[in-house]
Amino acid sequence: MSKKHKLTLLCVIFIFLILLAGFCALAFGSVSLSASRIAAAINGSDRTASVIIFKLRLPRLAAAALAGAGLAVAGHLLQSVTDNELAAPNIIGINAGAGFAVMLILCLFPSCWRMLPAAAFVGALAASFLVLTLSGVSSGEHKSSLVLAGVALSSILNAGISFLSLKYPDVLSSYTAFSVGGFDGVSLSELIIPAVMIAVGIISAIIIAPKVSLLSLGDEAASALGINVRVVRIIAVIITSALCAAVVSFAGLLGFVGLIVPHIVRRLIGAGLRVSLPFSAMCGAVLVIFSDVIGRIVIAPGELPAGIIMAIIGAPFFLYLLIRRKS
Amino acid sequence: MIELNNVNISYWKKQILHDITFTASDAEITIILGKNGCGKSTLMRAVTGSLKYVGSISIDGCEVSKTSSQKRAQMLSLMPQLLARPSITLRELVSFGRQPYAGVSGILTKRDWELVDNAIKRTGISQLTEAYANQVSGGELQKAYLAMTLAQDTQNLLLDEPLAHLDIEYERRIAEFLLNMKQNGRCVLTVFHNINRALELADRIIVVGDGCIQFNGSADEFITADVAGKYFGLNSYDCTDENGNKRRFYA
Repeated sequence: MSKKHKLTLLCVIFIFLILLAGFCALAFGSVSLSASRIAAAINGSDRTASVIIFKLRLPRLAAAALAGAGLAVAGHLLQSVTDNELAAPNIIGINAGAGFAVMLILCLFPSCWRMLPAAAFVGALAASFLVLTLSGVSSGEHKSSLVLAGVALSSILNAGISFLSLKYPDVLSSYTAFSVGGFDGVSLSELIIPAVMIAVGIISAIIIAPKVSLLSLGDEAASALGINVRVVRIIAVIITSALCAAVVSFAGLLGFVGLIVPHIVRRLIGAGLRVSLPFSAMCGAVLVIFSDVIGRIVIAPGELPAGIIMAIIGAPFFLYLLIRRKS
Repeated sequence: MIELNNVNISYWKKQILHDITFTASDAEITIILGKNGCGKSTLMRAVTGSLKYVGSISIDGCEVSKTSSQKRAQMLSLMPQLLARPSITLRELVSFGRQPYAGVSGILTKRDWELVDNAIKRTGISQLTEAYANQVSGGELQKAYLAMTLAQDTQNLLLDEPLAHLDIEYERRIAEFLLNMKQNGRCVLTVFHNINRALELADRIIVVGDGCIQFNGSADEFITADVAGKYFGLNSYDCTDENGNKRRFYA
């Protein structure tokens, strides 16, 4: 099968999976809805089903799809920029920055809970800019400096989070829900700004992809092919940070998506970045939507946050990577 | 043409090279020789604009430090010493050679892809276009990078130790490639370790040592001045080839 045919087939498969995931997200939960009830909800003839679909499940579906797409593209871009297959958005301080900002608001301004999404966003962006500065990426230092600076800053901020949780133990349960990552209680209105940011971020990532691809040849060879390595790296990190910050603002610290999905997509179609990024977006959306659905089913009528399901999937995936490398 | 005038290069506050002056001309192969650690690759990096320098390095009249990376890439192509093996197909790798002409979007035109496919055909890797760079042999990867250089289609070529880690067969192919480029009027500036191969190919030899140029002249002048003996400590051996020509080898 030629590469073009393979890509077309994969595209069709992913679109089918997205539609299937979407249907499952609307149908399954503490109350199962059949296809006919979903149709009735859409045309307004079943009020109960309409409330379930439009107030609860559709916002969660949209949030899961946006989060999955955004984090997958961010992870894929970051792994290309750092030339490190184990790079994930949390290593450049984004999760730690968001978590620290949320913890500060919960501890110091507990009545300002509406500020939490904005705080997460600002904290995430501030941390990633700090990592950019500390790593010296802006002055042309090696790409591994980014990872080292991210790990260092994350350690400091996580220590800060631990300190605050000891000092204010009452907020720990609220923070825990945020730190695990999930879509409980999300509304469509709070998704508008993140959705725009994620769409712009993904499109920007696809546009810059050919230049980022050149980094895989090494900085010297990439520079000889006409790109300003430092600028491309900074732009890519900014796009990654903005994508992750947007997702963190409504989904919390959802892990593993940005790490796992690029590996899956590279195995399926190789690593031509401009082609693989859209597939990463689709794969990420499918993965997170299904994780959210599984979380709603396994202990219904209760639910497990999508972040826990992602962690359960992520751990065996790491073992698989380890076994594959050894063989 | 690549011209260096009074170039000084320092690295971590230590001066690596000083007073480097020479010209690599069009339709010539200029080969830089030197012991390990003498600064050959450092010099290459300065010519590509990756390293700061004091003095003047110009490519076709344009000062390297004042030329944008995109314009530089349209004048000079580089084959680095260490060839990366990204997990992309060889065709995509070769297509990178057209990125300097692709603009911000990075989208290649039909003409660009024709040049890419032509370069692939000329280097004899047409049957490997869908193979991944991290799965082919060293020689096949070398050919892909040569194809990328061809696709980049620049007047000036820079090759950093292109014969490293290659067997005789591939060394011969690289040598043929360099001669072909010279015959097409290109300026070829390259770093070699193999003095004998350098003497076969070079129109001009530059020997770098102790931070400066120790020798700048033709292959015949290199032999006459016994640079290989005086600077590299090599013994010379004379023989006659199959055409009756006298040849000198160093070992």
